[in-house]
Amino acid sequence: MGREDEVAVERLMDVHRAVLGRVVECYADTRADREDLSQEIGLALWRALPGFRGDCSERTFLVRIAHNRGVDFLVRRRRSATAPEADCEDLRPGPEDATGARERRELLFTALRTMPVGFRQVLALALEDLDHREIAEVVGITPENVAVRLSRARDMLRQKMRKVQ
Amino acid sequence: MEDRCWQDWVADFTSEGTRFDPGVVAARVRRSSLVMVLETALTVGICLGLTGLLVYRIWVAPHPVVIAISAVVIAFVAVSAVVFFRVRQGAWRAAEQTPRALVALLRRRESSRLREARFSMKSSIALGLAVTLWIPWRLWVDWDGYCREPWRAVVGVGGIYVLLAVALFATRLWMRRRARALDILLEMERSFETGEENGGER
Repeated sequence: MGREDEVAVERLMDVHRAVLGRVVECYADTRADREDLSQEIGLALWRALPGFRGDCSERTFLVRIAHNRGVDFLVRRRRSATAPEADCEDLRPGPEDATGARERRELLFTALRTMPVGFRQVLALALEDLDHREIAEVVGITPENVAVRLSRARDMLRQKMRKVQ
Repeated sequence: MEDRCWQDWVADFTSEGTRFDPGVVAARVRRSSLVMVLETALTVGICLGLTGLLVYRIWVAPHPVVIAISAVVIAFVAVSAVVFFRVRQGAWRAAEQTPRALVALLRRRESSRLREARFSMKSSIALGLAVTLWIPWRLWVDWDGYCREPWRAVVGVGGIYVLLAVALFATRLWMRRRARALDILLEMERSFETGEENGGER
C-alpha cells in the first residue's frame, strides 16, 4: 500500500474514531483485547480501502468491516456470542455510584457484550443513529427485518438492564 | 417512557469511552504489516529453497525412489503454498462482506478443519493398529537381536507408541478447539436468523 492509501486510512480512522472505539467496546472487554481488536480493524481497513468503490457510504463501509473483525475476534478467542449472565451481574455498581455516567455506560456495554451477535450488531448500529436502511446495508438483511430484529433486541436489552439495575 | 429509555441508552452509548487513537493504531498496523510481509517472504523462500534442493538432488542422482519422494514433497509444498495464500486472500476479501456471509464462510472453514482433524485422528489410530500388528512380526524375525539388546525393543516400540500418543493427544486438543469455534459460529448464525423467518436475507 502506498503512502497515499496510508494517509487515507489514517484520515478515515480519525474521522470515525468515536464510532470505531464503540465497535471495539461491543466485542472486547479488557484493555489488551481492545488494543488487539483496534489493530485488527486498522489492518482490515488498510487492506480493504483500495477496493472501496463507493457503492455505500464511507461510514457503512467502515462499520461493516469493524463489526466483521469483531465477529472474527470472538471466534478466534473462542468466546461465546452470548457470555454467561453472571458477567452482567458482576458489574452491578454499588448504590453510591449507581447514577455515575461512566458506570451506566459500562453496564450498557456489558449488557451488549452478553447479547447474541445478530442482536448486538443491530442495536449498536441503531444506537449509533444509523437508520434501518443503513443498518440493512451493513448487516445484509432487508430494512423490514432490521425492524423485527431491532425490536427483539431492544426487549432483550431492556430485560438485561433491568436485571443489573 | 420507552423513547426516554432509548434516548438514555443513546446518550450513555455515545458518551466518551475507549479511546481509538488512529495514530497509535496506524503505527501498530504498519508494524504488523511489515511482519506479514516478512512472514510471506520467509514462507516463499522456504518453499523455493526446498523445491530447488529436491530438483538439484534429482538432477545429481536421478534414482526412481528419490524422484518419487521428491515429487510427493514438491506436490505437498505446492498445495500447502496455494492453500496458504488462497485462505489468506479469502480472509481479507471476507472482511468486506456482510457479517452473515462472513460467519457462513468462517463456519464452512471450521467444518472443513474439523473434518481434517477427524481424518487425522482416524489415520493416527489406523497407523497405531498397523504398528501393533507389525511389532510381533518384527520381534519374530529378529528375535535373537532383541534378546541380545532388549533396550532396542523398549526404545523402538516404546518410542513409536509415545509418538502416536502425543499425535493423538494433540489432534484431540485441536479437534476440541475447532468444535468450540464451530459451536460459536452456529450460535451466531442462529442469532442472525432472528427476524428472517420469512426469508429476510438480502
